[in-house]
Amino acid sequence: MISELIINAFLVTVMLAIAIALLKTRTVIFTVILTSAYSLVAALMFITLDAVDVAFTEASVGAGISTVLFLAAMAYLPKKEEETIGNQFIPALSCIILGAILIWCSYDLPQIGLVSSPIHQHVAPDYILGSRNDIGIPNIVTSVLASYRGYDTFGETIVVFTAGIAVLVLLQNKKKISKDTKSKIKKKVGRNA
Amino acid sequence: MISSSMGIWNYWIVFLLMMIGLFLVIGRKNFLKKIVGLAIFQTSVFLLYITFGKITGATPPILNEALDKVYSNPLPHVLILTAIVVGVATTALGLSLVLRINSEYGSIEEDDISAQDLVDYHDEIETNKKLKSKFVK
Amino acid sequence: MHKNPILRVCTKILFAPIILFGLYVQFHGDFGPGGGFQAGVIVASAFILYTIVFGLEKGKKLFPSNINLLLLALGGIIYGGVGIASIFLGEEFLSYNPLGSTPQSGQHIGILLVEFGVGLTVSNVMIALFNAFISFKSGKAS
Repeated sequence: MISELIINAFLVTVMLAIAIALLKTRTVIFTVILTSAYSLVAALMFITLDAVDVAFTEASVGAGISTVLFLAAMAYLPKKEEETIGNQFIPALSCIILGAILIWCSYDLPQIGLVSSPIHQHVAPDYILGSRNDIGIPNIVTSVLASYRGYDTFGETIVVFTAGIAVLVLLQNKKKISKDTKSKIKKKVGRNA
Repeated sequence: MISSSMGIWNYWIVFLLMMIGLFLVIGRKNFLKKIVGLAIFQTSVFLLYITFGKITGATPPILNEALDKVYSNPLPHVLILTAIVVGVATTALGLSLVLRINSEYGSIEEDDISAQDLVDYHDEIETNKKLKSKFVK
Repeated sequence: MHKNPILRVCTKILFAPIILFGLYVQFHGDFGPGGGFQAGVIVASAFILYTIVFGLEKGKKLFPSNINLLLLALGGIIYGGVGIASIFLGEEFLSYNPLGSTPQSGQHIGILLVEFGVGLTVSNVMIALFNAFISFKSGKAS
């Protein structure tokens, strides 16, 4: 059990190192690649925390598609970030204060891996039993995703759909000309010719 | 002792990551960096959720009749699984907004854009004044 | 479009296995890790790889954008349709029990259909996003 925790702590520290490198870098390509590496280490982290489905998704979506989209967007953007001119003291201070408060509060959180922590008492045992008896699907995550929490997943699918449509609308190149204008143009061009 | 401090170490790093993400969003002026900061913040929240669901010595939540074991909590996994995909869709939306801003203003630095807006605003006021003076005459 | 023959041949060889793997993840999601979201992204990655190597023109020939938009909407409709079908069969929205002969088989069928809808939407959204990004023309819109 201790070895598991040590691997955990190591991976999470690697993530912190990548995030600090992200703070320092000013080149866009490094930013994109570091974000991809961050997602990949997060996927490893999810495997050590027993979330295989989440790790699968993070590796394919976070490290794969999201990097491709960033690279595709990068082609149109300036390659270097400008040095920040303004004062960064107030944002940094507020972040440090908020972080200190959160870390202070973390002593009240349950330790990692305890069976007695409140999250494991509520509906999760019902889901595990029900997935065996009522639904009959071995992968509990799938049965909760599609059956017990079907409404959530429906909403998320519609959100993905809406975001896709919004991007298509924002990035389309076609200039819309109404039918009236088109016929007017045709008439004018016809007269001139 | 070691295991108890290790048990909280994850939370500390998650909070530090969150703060780094927040700083990238509010402290940096480059829009692409802001979106990357949002992605980092998101992933740290995912880590926090998955950390809650972990049980020491448990197996991943896939039923196996042969061994009667303890399974990790599947509920956070479900919530985060969908959140990741929605996260990439919203990131793409943010990126497309950045592209549009870049093609309108020729820059993605916040200071530059607000300066351009200010110039436009003053121009507008001056043209309004000219029009008014013409009208009064 | 790349002139490099290694890239072109490897893309053609890899294209089918990637889609096969996507289908495996899609329909094996009930028994192992996987499901609609991951499978959608994997299937989309095959088309994105093809577009990267052979260019947008050939990519659109392989998968026309009007079919892409149609399937994009169809995924959500399948999901909602399964929910409404269970209303017509006499139970609540998205309760899959009446779809099969026994409640368990109904759940199986419902989950399979719903995951298929999710996979369809996600894969087509990802392909549409990538195509929109690479065909974006910079310059002031008027």
